[in-house]
Amino acid sequence: MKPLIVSKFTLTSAVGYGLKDLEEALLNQRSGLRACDLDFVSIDTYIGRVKEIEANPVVDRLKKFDCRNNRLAQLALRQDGFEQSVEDAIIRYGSGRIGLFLGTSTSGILQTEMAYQNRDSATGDLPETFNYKETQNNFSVAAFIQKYFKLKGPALVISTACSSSAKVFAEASRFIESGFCDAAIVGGVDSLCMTTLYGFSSLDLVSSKACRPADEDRDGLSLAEAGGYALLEKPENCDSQDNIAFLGYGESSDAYHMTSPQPDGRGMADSMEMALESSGLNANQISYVNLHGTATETNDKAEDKAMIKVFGSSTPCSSTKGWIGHTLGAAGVAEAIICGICLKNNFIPGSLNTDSLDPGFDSNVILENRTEKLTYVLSNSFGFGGNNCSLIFGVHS
Amino acid sequence: MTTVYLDGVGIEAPGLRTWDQARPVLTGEKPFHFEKKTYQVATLIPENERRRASDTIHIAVNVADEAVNNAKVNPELLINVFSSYRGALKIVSHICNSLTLPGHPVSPTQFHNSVYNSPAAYWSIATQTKGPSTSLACAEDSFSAALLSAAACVFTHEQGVLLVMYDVESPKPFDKKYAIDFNCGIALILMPSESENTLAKLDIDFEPRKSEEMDIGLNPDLVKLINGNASAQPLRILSAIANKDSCEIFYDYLETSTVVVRVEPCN
Repeated sequence: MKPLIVSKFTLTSAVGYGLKDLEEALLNQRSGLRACDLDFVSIDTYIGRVKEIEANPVVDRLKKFDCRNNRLAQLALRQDGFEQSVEDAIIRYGSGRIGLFLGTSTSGILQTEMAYQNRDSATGDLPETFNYKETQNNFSVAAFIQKYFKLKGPALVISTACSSSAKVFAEASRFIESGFCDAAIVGGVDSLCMTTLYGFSSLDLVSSKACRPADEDRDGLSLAEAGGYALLEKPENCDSQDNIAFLGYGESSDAYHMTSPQPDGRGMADSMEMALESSGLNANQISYVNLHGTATETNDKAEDKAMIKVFGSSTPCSSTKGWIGHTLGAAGVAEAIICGICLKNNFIPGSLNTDSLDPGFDSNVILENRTEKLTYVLSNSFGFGGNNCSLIFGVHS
Repeated sequence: MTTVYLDGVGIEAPGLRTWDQARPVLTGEKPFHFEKKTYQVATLIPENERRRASDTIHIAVNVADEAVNNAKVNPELLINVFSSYRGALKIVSHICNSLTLPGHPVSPTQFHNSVYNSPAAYWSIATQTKGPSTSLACAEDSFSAALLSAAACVFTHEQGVLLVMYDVESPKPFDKKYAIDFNCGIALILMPSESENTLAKLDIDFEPRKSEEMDIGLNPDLVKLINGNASAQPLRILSAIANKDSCEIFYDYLETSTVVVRVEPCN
């Protein structure tokens, strides 16, 4: 693919609002996970909850969009000057030439869950105040952001479970190469809800503790919420130096099972190999791999096998889900942004909460933070239905 | 602007049971009968998965299978783009109802079927297709977005795309305020170059302005289908192809923009 500059990015997650909190948490190994304290869920688990989403409603002309997911979308947008960067881009490119590609898995489904608690006992009707299209429908978050900025470019939501907001980078690249837009806002927003907490719980995939990726005693994931965005532009349209560049992507399907990855990690390896091919890089040029690393028994094992197949046993890798949890449809962009921070700080995050590495693993899982010159990094995101996506980033000079 | 070649069609909609059966209806040679049927079970799906599959999955897999067969392409060589306005709303409704009950019981099968990309995942499992697969949403304009996405894939990767649209009848209590009255699935095979199976050349472009252009001469029955189910939107292109009508079709995109499709049917 033709490289794109990530000219601006921001992430709001369980460790805080914007990049400053994220960077501080990563460097100091401060986890944002905590025992589940949501008033609508009673499961013995840890979650990654964004503080005070509830206190930040969507108001005025966009109030029909008000729901937990769009509150998070709005909150995340208002960090690190991202909003201003979009406004500037609109002036430079025109509102019709900026694409909008966002990922989510469950959108504003919490709103529907609440509406069902309040159905009319006689007729079964949903409350009059319930706006399905603006809240729960999968396109809701992109419709909200599109109207927020009055954008007129191509806009869509990708919903491929946990790879959703990794795939938006690939989609934006294709739209720009095809000439349908000149620049793109990519991102992902997913928020805590009953469906995912009780759903993953029904599959025995949630841990009762803070998740422990690659640990021999790992017992599942910590569900979490996050919102993150990146602005992608062609290099010729950016003058600032030392930007993070998006250099390659790979997308594959396991064609194996709805909820389990292929045990030998073949589909995952395909995705990483395609990303290398797309970037024109060799495996030995990658300095660090940010793993999907959900801390479920099957994901981490299969991903280890895929890592060995593509990179062998020396390339440093780790999961950062011990910090922010598994943010599902936001995981792709969240971990892309973490890769951006790693590149800027020349630092590799050690796998947080991992006490004792699974002795069956052969890949080089890093357990302690370390400083190291990073040139190129790869980030993995793998979703239900065996939907895989890998992204490669580097420093553009 | 991006050019793609439409090589195969699959369809399952009221009165339009397959592409072969739909063609003479679209030309007016045969009358259109609005006839709702339950979906056909997709026997292509392995038995273990088939038992768990829901209506959206059966419909999407069936039309995808028909399109691949008509285009005589190997599905393993295609990129998959699946899209729907409502996705698995019926299952979401079931789950939300379960969540009001004591203990919040969610069925694991319903949970994985509620995932928006489940039809695409069942398709990849059924056909052992291991390439890129995207499931995307854009409300009523999902076909406009999916068509651009597919065109961008064809252009960038110089590979064929299987584009599948599907939307099913609204469940209660959504049937009052957010009604879709009938099931519809349509699949298109879009290729980077012309072949002996090509039905039409499509030039696809995005314009950041609203179009005032209207379709001329579209059968009013089809207009009802298109207005009643967002996934019936490809019928506008299919009608032009069946009638050998070279024309431009203007698809609304988000109230502000347009996807323009210039259709040149092949002989």
